[in-house]
Amino acid sequence: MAILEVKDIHKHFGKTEVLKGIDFTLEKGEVLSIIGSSGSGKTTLLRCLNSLEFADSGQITVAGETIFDAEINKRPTEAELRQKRLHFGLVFQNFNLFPQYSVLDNVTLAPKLLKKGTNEEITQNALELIESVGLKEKIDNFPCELSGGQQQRVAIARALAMNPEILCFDEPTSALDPELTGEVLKVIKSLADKHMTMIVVTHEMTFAHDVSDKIIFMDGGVIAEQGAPSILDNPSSDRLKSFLTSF
Amino acid sequence: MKKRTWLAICAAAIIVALAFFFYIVYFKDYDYSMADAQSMEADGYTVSAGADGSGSVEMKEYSNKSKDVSGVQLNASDTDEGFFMWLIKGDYEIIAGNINNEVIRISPKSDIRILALYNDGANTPHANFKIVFAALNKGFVQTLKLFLITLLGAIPLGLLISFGSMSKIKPIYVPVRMIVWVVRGTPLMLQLLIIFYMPGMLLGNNIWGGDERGRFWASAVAFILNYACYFSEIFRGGIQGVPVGQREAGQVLGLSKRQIFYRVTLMQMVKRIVPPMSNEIITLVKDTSLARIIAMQEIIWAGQAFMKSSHGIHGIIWPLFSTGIYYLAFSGLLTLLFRRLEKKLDYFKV
Ligand SMILES: Nc1ncnc2c1ncn2[C@@H]1O[C@H](COP(=O)(O)OP(=O)(O)OP(=O)(O)O)[C@@H](O)[C@H]1O
Ligand SMILES: [Mg+2]
Repeated sequence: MAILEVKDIHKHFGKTEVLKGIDFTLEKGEVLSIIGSSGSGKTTLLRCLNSLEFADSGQITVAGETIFDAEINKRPTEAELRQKRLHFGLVFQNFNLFPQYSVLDNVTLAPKLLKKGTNEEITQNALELIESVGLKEKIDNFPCELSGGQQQRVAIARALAMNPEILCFDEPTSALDPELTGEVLKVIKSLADKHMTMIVVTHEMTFAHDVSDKIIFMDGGVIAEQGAPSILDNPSSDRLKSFLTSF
Repeated sequence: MKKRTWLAICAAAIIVALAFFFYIVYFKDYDYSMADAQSMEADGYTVSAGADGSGSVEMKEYSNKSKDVSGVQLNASDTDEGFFMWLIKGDYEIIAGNINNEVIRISPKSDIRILALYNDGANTPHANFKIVFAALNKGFVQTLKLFLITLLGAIPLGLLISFGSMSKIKPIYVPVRMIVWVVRGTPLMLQLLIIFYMPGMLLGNNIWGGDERGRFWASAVAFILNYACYFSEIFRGGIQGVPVGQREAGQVLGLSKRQIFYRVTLMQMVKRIVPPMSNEIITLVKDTSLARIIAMQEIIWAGQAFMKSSHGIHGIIWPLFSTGIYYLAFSGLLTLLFRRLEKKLDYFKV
């Protein structure tokens, strides 16, 4: 059974329909890359998955549990919402680290507040995660003392600390200088090797091609083409063809 | 430059400032009093009219060799209490009593020249120091009270107003923003006058009462309202200045609204709010002097009173000038405190 099922998601902002019926499924341990031109609705889709936005229609099911159904009119309570959000992690384009906390505290803040274990366990786990993203010597530094690439790696560790079933990335390298994208992509690739289920919105075609199990190409609020990474080599739709020539 | 050089420059500046201060107190203010006394020459005639029996004047012979004046000290009981003057011998004629008597009567021969107001040792500048600074201290206590009550009232009210102005409900944010616009768009001095005098005009009796308590509370209300509006804009900037991404990062980590507010956004707001707040609070220290306009007895009022007559001292202006020292010291202290606070918050950038 698929870990994630997304059915017929529609989303309007005012009069403009940004998502016009999105359907896809994702298996546990798979990496899905979402590509598409600016304004095609990629961020909006991720935000719907993370309950930062609510779709107007459609359903989202995670591991058999329906976490969103537009048919059910009852607004979720804050507690329910928080529970649903915990299925997902989200890494933002501009990191959004908490500036007043050190690297270690950024990673331990949420697990400690949500009592995900004893303080020692949480700290131990955080140290391992920080080490796995290669920032062991930066644990006491503050975000303002780190490069963009380092900040993004901390953000990944922070998301992993909550142990999400599906980790989402919204253009994790777009805000970075070209020489810094490599270190972040390397971390994501190492997660893929450990079979972390991930959805990555990206403009890095080589990365998408090499790391993903599945590619979705979005255009104008619909999935214009989806399939194995090979669709990047042999696009069947004209829209994907012309999109790929822009790289 | 080296630290020692700076210290030397500061010390020199302080010495020069003190020297200048004493120069004013001892010499210039003396001249000022003379000028003041000259301008009151008409009073001299009023006093002399007392010689005709309509009032009584007390006189003591007095001479001050060091200042080369001689004449009589005159205490006109029908003018201000304790009003001493020097009259020059020859300008008047004693028509009753004897110069050695407690009470004599004089009649002017020509113009009576009034020389000065410092008539004896009891009223020399250094004897005035104690009296003047005691009065200024008392005024400064009033100033501090107004300052503290304004902070105490304006910070919570400012928060409330900032929430009101950020509200999404039109009937809330429209009037709140109107009030903020009016309060920030008109002089505080005018607001003080309106708040103090308006109730009396409208209701026929002054709800504040005419005494110092009434003036203090009227000032407090005006200051709290005014500063709450300024603070509200700072709070609004601080709250809206925190990027939405911070809240969203907290949300996707599963934090509750409370946890996001207290653990994520609050510190960032504080960090944004501290520098403009410290500016505003230091401005408030000096703005309290505006309460003078409705005769609240704060330090400017206390200093200015000596220009006319206060505590038996008349016509000196240095007490008014000296009030500056209080403001300078207090705002200096606050500046240091706020700088410390900002330093404390320096460990992160927003
Ligand atoms: N909160 C919002 N209110 C109104 N319109 C919005 C909002 N968020 C997104 N949109 C609109 O929805 C459309 C899709 O936006 P979205 O951010 O999902 O695109 P995207 O595919 O992520 O683009 P990019 O590659 O530039 O990040 C855009 O036209 C955008 O202007
Ligand atoms: Mg986007």
